Amino acid sequence: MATDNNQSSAEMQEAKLYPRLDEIIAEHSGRPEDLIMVLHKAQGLFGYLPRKVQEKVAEGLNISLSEVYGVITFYNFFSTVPQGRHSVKICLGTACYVRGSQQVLDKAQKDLGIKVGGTTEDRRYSLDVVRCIGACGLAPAMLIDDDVYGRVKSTNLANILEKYE
Amino acid sequence: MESSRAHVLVCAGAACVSSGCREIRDAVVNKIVEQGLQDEIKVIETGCIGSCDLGPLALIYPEGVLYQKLTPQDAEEIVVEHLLKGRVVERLLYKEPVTAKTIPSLKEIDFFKNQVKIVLRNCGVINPQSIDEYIARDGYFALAKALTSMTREEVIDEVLKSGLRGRGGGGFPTGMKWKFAYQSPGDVKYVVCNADEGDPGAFMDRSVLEGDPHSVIEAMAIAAYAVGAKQGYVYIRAEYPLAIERLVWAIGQAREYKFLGKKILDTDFDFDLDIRIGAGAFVCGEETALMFSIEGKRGEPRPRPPFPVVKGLFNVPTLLNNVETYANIPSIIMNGAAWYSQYGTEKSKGTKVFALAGAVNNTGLVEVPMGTPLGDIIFNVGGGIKNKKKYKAAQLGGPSGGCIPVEHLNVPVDYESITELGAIVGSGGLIVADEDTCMVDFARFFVDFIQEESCGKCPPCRIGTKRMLEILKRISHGEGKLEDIDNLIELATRIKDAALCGLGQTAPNPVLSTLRFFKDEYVEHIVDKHCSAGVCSSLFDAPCQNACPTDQNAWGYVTLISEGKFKEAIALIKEANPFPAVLGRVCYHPCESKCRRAQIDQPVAICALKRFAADVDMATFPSFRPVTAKSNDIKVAIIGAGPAGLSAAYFLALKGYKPTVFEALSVPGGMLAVGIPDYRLPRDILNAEIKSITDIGVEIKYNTQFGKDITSESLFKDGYGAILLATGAHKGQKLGIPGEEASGVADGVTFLRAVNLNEIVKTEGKVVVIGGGNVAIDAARAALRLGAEEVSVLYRRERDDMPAYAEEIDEAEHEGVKIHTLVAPDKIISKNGKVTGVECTRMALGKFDKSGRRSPHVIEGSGFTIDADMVIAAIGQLPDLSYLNGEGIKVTNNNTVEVDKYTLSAGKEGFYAAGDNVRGPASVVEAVADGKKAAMAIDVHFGGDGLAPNAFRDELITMVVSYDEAEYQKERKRMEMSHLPLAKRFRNFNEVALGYQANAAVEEAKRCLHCYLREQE
Repeated sequence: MATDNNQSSAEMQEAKLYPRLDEIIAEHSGRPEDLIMVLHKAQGLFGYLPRKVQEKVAEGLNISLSEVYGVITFYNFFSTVPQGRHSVKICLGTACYVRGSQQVLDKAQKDLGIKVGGTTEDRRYSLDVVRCIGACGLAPAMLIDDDVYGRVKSTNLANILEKYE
Repeated sequence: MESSRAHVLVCAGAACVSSGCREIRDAVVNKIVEQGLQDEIKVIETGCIGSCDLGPLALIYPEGVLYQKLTPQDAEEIVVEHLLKGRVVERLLYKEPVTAKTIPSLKEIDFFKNQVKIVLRNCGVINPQSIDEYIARDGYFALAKALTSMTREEVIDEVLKSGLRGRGGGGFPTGMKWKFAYQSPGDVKYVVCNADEGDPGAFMDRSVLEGDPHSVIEAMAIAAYAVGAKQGYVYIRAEYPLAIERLVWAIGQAREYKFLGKKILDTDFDFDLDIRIGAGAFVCGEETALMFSIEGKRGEPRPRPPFPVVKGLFNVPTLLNNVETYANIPSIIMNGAAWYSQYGTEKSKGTKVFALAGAVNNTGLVEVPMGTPLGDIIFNVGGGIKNKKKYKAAQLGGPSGGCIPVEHLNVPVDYESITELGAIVGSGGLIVADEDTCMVDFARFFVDFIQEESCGKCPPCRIGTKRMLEILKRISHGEGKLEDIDNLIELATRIKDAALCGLGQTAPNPVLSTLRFFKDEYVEHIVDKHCSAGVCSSLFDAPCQNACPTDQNAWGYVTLISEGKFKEAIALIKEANPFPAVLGRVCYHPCESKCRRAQIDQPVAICALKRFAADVDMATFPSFRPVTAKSNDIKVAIIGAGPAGLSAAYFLALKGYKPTVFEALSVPGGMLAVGIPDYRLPRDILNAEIKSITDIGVEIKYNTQFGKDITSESLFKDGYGAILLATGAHKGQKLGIPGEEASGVADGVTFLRAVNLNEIVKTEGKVVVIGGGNVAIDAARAALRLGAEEVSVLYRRERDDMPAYAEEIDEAEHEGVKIHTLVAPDKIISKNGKVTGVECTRMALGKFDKSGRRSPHVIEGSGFTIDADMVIAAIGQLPDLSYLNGEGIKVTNNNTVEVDKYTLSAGKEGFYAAGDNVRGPASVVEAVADGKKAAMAIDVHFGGDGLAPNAFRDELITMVVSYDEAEYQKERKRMEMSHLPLAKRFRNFNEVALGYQANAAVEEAKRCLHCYLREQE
């Protein structure tokens, strides 16, 4: 029951966002070349790109839904499933890898109890890897939402994660 | 800049932001206001200063003082001490990684002083959010010059003549590209900036956009003017939010100042610029894919031609350059092609920015002239390898590039030279890999990356890289076959030929490159099922054991000690090693250098814990005695009672053999007895350990020389089934300089042997030791103890190059030994046949040799004399194999016994060899390992299983500890071992390192991270 409630409340939350989506789409109406920009904005709004959003974007920019879906699945940044409140991204760029980011990733998977690409049950964290965030000088690095953490050690990972409610 | 008495520049590159530079800026501003200095001192947030590893950092002008690794608490001291009182805050200055010397000024720091900044000229100097500061540094003057005094053709010609080539990786001449775009017919054209810096390990584009966005805007306007475009796009990756923010801001400012828009600078030239943000696809760095992505489509590459300059964005001619290429343009237009082309090599002009990262001390962005030797970038600018590890390779060019091994450190970094070595300059990612990087795994890492980023359009890339990945994974799991190497090469060649775009065509490069220079590592994984870097974890239980030549189960005994199970610990230790008390004192502990704990603070003191277990056992009655197999009555003769010979005897005895060791001297132990002085290895400890070997049935016959008292013929006749040669390397090498025959000159091993056998009991006056190895340091410390008034060590390279153990060098200095580095002896001076001094010259270090160390060369006219009453030459030892005369055993050019790598068989039936007489002078642990290996090979020879004892592993591998592990996994330094106070070392050979007490040992052992425990899948 509890999950159902959560789900429906999440859906209600989402429903409130559609008018804003319509505005965004209207700004780019009839310009298919703006698709990626619109998807960025839509994902910023919803946190992911549910089917209904895809349909609206397709219609507004006058492109087929399959094309929209094709673009979404091509790019790593876009997600069609709901994400956790905080995105934890461990950098597996070369410099980070050489400085031991694999161990940080292993620890993160162990601590959060999820694999790469997964989201914790309480929707608090999503775990992913990124290929270089350009903080090579501080390797190993990770990204939580927009915050970059450098010189991450597997031992202080838990402390960092705790800060994100 | 406004006229202020001082400027505080706070680096606000992305790396420093993440290290907390904003808090520091705020704290500094607050303190300045508190002190009422706000009208005199200006605080500026700049772009990346370059030295990311030192961040957060601040630069204070006019002095140019650099403060590093700041915290907000440091603000008060900086403001009150430096800005108010004019006193530099020593504590916060940069420290040279090797010498730990503090360096106040930016200009004197190696990292900065070896750079030439053209692309990064404004990064870290100006506030990137202020167009006025950009203009104050001649910003937009180049655009004005181009628009008002140059024709479009002249602009293109200038770029052409400058020799600038594409910095994104292609290296195509930029001027040519501009010319083609100019010549391409069409009313509408675009200029595009590729800021999709996807190559992992490269971040110069990010830094330029964050630190100097106007330089790119200005350059794009110049390019648009030259080729005839009115609209430009910057395609920037979404992973760079700060760069996007600053670029958006800068474009707004440029529009406001009319550098963008209609009628720029009151000419007829119109140009505007928009940003397009990527969405996380590596392939979009490829130009055709990038343009599809700007059009809002899937970023899949298409075949070329047509090239973008003919048919590009929205199917019109498009000029596409990368960020760094553009950032060069304003300076070229302002200063002229001739000025620019003074930097670099014949074919590679100008400078190149490298993102230096990985296992190097100074990470960050560096800009050097093209053609700078790779080794200079890594060791001068980069400050060398982190944690004094060994350089293994530099990876240039990311997933499209390759590795450059140690023997090519002198290569000039330019397009042609790097390509010749199978790598590419690429976008300038320069990742340094040290001995802890496994090259098979490294190749797997890149192929994994490519496999994931392959867009899937063409099968060679999509399927080919998948197959390569499967093979590489197999090899790193120890399931590879030798033919896999050929398969990899075949696949790689096919993919290179057939893939559609640059991503696929270059995808095999990391594999080909590692196969070219590190084939041995592939073979090691395939044949030996061993990963010496300690990375491929399916091949071992824990990296400590993996690193030990004797295969000592270190994780096991450390965990047993942590639980107070000392008896079990020694039983486990003695499965692999009969000399724990010895090696617990003198081992160079390769286990510790691979210990995962080092990533948190310091490695577990594995070596000292072994000593602890051994010492406890020795003090127990009865002490541990291993179980031996039932006797098989096979007699084996072992020549030499050093660590290799005695270890072989031990393992043979365990297996039921009857080994007899024949020793030429009157004492057992070989170098352990006559090489290592008592203060490092007390004789009673050594003898007790040797007794535990003879106790299990090993017989030692003294004063028996092979080739004289016994021969192979006599031994075989006496019923010995096999002979193991383990005679070590006891012959000191001559200096090869005039005068060394004088009295008072000795070689290191001879001197130490005489000291250890009590033949020399006194040294007088000034003793000069020549060499930098353990023998040199042992000789120096022994001479000091025997009464020498002054002991100096001369070494021809730098201290970090000395092969002696660092802790031994430290102790020697601590005791008063003077170490003179970069000094080489020329001649021994003597009077009446007795040595009086050494004529020396000073040395300088030049090019890198094959071992990755810089070769020393004489500084002309630097000669000087050092007084000496005794000279000890410790520059190396050789095995003395003269006794083999007539035995028909093959000897190598290095005067060592030639053996089969796997069986240590010396080529003649029944003959084996182990230890220093095979390896040349090496370590004790390697000698023990060789002895073990030879014993197992001999066992196989006689029909045994050749397996070393390993009774406890299966039980230990799941061992879970009883204490709160989490508590010990927080940062916690290793337990200190006490040392004999200096005053008590005078004129004696008492042991210096005193070992752990039980409680300290248990605490130390608890620091183990138990990385042998694997998650059960």
